Amino acid sequence: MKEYKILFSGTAGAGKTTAIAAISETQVVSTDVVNTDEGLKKATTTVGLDYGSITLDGGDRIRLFGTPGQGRFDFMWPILAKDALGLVILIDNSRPDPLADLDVYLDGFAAELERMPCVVGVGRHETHPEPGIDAFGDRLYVRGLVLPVLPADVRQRSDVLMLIDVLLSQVEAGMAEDGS
Amino acid sequence: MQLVLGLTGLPGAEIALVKTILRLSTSLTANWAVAAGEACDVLLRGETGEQWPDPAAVVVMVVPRGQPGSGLVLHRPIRAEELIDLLNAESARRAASETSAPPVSIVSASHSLGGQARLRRWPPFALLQGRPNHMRLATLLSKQALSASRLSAVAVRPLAECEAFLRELDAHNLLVWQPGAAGAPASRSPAADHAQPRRGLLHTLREKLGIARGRA
Repeated sequence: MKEYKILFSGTAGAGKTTAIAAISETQVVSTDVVNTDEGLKKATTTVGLDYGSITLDGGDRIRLFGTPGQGRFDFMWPILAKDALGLVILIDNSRPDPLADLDVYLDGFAAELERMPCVVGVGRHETHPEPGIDAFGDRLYVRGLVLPVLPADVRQRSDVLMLIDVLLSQVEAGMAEDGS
Repeated sequence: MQLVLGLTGLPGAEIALVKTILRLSTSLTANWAVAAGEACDVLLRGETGEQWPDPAAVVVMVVPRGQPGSGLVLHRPIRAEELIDLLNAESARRAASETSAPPVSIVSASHSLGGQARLRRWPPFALLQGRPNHMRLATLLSKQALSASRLSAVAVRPLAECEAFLRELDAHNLLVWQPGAAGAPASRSPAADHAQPRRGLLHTLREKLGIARGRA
């Protein structure tokens, strides 16, 4: 039996726990505590990590990990990203500066992004249309990155599956680059 | 090379955007500083901007997209790659004039569909919305340069569809073209031998999640 890993990262409240729950076969194990951060409009927040899993025919397992959103836990990000199939960065477009939020994760995973597939999902875009989706593409461009960016409401399983579909396409693209 | 960019007649948000692009870009071929009421090498001027005193400044009018303009124009909403291309062209022109060398061509070699291309940036969402196959084609082009025929083979999509998509991307200046043998299969690398089990994993995972792809 082999095990693989997909990582979900993003700011607190961006929907990491919800996204994992949308596709996990097992109940998501969360290390949530009561939120004491007044700037974060949630009852609970993840202080460790979220965990879900998918078991494939043949017994192989996909482990789904959600990183804690607060910056003080950023030391965990590269540890969790090690040997991951890919990374999903979730952005909450209702926050004051979503583009700066994206920069945080691009900086935090800079070494991993040199080789690891990654897709950026922008949430709450319908209610908070600015910055537009293309602004994220612009920001990635000036940072020398070409990564898929798409709107995603992780409360909709179809949107989470779309993020995973694009992520897997990136994995396949990397295999095509190898000449397979 | 240190060059100065002047801004006049632009709203605060555009000024902030330009400064952010200059600060974060890794693609600029010269060091650009934003001027504040001083002589500059390139002046971005909005409709209400005043001509700065420096007659040597190259003036670029910032106009709404779709509006023609005489001389150099930059369309709003300002796109990072267009601003960077404009500034790089100016720095190349200055470098060429300083060395008295023949003008450096910054246009890459082949724009025919017989060449290979990769994305220089992720496409605007309007080009992909509602077209999941184009999302996949764009993802492949984000990782490596491919000809239309190679893209068709890897993505398992009709050649005509891939050619049309490449033309659309090229029309929006989203591609970097490379000369190369169009359609020549990439030589098989040792990594390819390890890719087969992973390809099986991806297929199995897609089937499990209900996002398996049909073959064209």
